[in-house]
Amino acid sequence: MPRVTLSDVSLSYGEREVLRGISVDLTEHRIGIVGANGSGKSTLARLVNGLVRPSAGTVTVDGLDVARHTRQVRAKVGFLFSDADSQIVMPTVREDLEFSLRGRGLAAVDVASRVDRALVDFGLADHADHPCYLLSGGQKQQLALAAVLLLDPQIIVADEPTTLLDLRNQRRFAQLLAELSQQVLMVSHHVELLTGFDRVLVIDDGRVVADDTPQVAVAAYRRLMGEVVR
Amino acid sequence: MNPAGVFVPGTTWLHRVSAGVKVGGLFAAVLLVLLIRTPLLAGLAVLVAGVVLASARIPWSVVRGGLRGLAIVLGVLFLVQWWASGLDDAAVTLGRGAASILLAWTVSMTTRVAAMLRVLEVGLRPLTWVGASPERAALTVALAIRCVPMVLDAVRQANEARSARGARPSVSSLAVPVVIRSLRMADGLGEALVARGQPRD
Amino acid sequence: MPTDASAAVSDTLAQDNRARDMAQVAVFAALIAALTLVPGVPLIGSSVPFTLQTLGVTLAGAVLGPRKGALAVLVYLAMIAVGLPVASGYKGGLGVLTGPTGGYLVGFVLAAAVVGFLSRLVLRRAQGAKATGGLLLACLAGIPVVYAVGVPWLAAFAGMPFGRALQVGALVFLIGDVIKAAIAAVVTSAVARALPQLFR
Repeated sequence: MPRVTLSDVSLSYGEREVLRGISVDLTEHRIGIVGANGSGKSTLARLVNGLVRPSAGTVTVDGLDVARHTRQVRAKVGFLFSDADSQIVMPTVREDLEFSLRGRGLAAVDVASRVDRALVDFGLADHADHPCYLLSGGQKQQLALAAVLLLDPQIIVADEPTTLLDLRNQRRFAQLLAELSQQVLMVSHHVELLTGFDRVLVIDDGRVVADDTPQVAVAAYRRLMGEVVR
Repeated sequence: MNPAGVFVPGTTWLHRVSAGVKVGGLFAAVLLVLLIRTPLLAGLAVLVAGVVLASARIPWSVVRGGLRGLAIVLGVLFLVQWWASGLDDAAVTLGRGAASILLAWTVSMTTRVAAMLRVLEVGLRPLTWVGASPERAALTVALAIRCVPMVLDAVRQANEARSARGARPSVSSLAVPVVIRSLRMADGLGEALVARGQPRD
Repeated sequence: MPTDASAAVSDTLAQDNRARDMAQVAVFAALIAALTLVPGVPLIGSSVPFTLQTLGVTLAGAVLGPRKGALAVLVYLAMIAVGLPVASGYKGGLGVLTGPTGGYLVGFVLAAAVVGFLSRLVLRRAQGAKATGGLLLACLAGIPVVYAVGVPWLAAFAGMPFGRALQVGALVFLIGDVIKAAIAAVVTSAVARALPQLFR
């Protein structure tokens, strides 16, 4: 598995401190990140892809400093947003998948065959020429994942990818992510989706307050949220 | 959004001909149509355009919606023209407008937007002379196409939020939320492009 | 190799900014299209149907500034050119650009640039509600620009005398266009307060 390292990372927007001195070394296959709204967990996820830059400290992916080698890092790290709608950038399903391979110097036949395979793998073959806005929420998130995987990333960072899905699609999509051979970093509110994960971090007020197996970390998160454990 | 003008999959000769040829043909046809000066020729042009459109075998349900909008606009133009410069001129304008729009529709309904954008990329090649990138320009157009249903959705959402609050339609209850939502959408889209490693050029 | 690394960093930042600019231009092109497609009646409360196309054009200039505003209009025109039914009355295709009203569309590009230039000038000097008056003047300045291209084009295309073209191609739209410029000014002033970082 690749190694994502945060060394004493802090980040603030003006007066507001979002992350306060986080140091973690992430080498497990499936890593969950939970936390309340505004805890800084989404910001943490964005750091790994260089979508935001730390005010202090460094983030490295396989030894590459994200701030200095952003391009190489982004080639390794695929990013899934919670709103698939903002991630799908092209008018039709096929075009959006083709977009992933844009500017990589691939021959048109190679692009077509890889896109065709992805369409079949993700159950989107019947919708290849449909406008993306006609897809269901679950299909949109499938398309977003297919588009990310076409880039051959080694790490998938997913920022609350199941928030807009119904219960059945939440489980189905989390299952899909958990079965990937890539390293998966999933930020989620839905703690029950993280049970099969290897490690779960709990973020609160910009700090890592628990870092353990899902059972232990999720229990700590529930206590933090003041939830009555039945 | 009205579906007329959007790609409809098919296997007719018009679907198979390359996009560049179709756009070139459209340009030539529109130039010819603009030369028309008599109502008879204008009518003939509409007839030919109609036959070309029919040969693309687009389902009538798709074409009908667009025709209604077209009829209203051309109808108004016809009346204005009739009043301004007489019946003959009005008929010529009507025929020229209808023929060129039907042909333009035929091209866009038988051509994938992706293929159309490649033609646009070629058409924009002169941009490199002023240091701009035709690929990026074509990409921006594709992004904009993708955003139209999203912005229409933002308009609908803002309108729902307004009526849920019982507010009257106004600039602050509708137009401001729509623009702010659009700017947020642009933030999300920009972030998505960056995360997907684009623009690469 | 410190210089290489810092060059790579500024390269990436430039790439990220390009992506952001592209997204803004694309979204505003889509906004112009959307405002052209939705009937304008509910926004104004008037019974006269007209489109909000010029509102979209004016907003693109005022909110995005001259360069990105004019680019947004150009992208909107390109959407029409590739055949999407996003011109007024669900028209699309090259026929619209070469038709009798094509001049207005060309005029929109210049109008967005003029409105954008003047709005930026206003917002650099005044903030908050005080800017609204200046923004109104900036948005109004777009109207003569559109007519200056649109009316002669209409006259030439339809072979009508210039005075008649001015009547059917400018005067009937004037009141609506002034109202839309006022809306654009109010909206821009509100957006500048809500998202000040955008105008810096």
